[in-house]
Amino acid sequence: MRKMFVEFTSRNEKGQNPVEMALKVVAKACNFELVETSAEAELILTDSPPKALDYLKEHESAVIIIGLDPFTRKNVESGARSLEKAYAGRVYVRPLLDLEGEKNLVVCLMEGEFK
Amino acid sequence: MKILLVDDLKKNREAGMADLTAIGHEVVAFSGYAKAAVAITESRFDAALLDLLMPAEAMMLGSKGLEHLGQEFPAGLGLSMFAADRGVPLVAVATDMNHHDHPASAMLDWFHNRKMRINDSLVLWMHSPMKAEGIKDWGKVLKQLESG
Repeated sequence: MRKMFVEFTSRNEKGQNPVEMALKVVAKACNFELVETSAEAELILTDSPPKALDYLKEHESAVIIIGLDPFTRKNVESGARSLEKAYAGRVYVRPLLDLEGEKNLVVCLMEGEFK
Repeated sequence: MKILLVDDLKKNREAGMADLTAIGHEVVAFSGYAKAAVAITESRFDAALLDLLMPAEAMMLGSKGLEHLGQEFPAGLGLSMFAADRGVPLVAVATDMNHHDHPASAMLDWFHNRKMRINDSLVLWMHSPMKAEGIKDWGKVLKQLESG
């Protein structure tokens, strides 16, 4: 069972973000073990590219998944994609709402992409 | 001495913290240049030991600029100039990047580990001495910076 830390901050403060809460339910259903701090995690799920960069520097091996919120995607996608390119194999970018040809984050989790 | 240590790699920061505190120095470590620049502005340091290549941070960047987020660039050079400008007496930039693998590392060959005087600061740009485990030896970097 892989340990996952989820932190979405773009809409509300930590712990009250509805997207974060929903993703935690999905993660649990997909047999991930949710942890309280990023330090314990093998997988870190965030919606913030700058935070993803901080996690990359603080953790030597954790995999970071950046979820693109449709409301903030326009502003954050270029940074997220840049991190995915610079840290190939450690950073993955997945949309919360899929456009044509994309697979959204929930489907990726349910299909076991990050198991 | 109060030393500022900046390196994006955790293993280099931890080794530097351990080695430098073991010989009696106070070390303040950062993983990126933006917070380090703030620290230079707000605190007084006796020495700054800086990584050469660091991932670009979101500081000041708009959506076009964010296309560079996380891409390594020679941030240590700019940060070293800033430290010298702000009066840090001893400043070193040290890289473990092979000079055949990155142009910024190749450029350090020009300096042959010679110290430069910038304002009133001694500044050294160098290829880092390494420990056996592939970790930077920040203690040796400091020693070289302090040596006559």
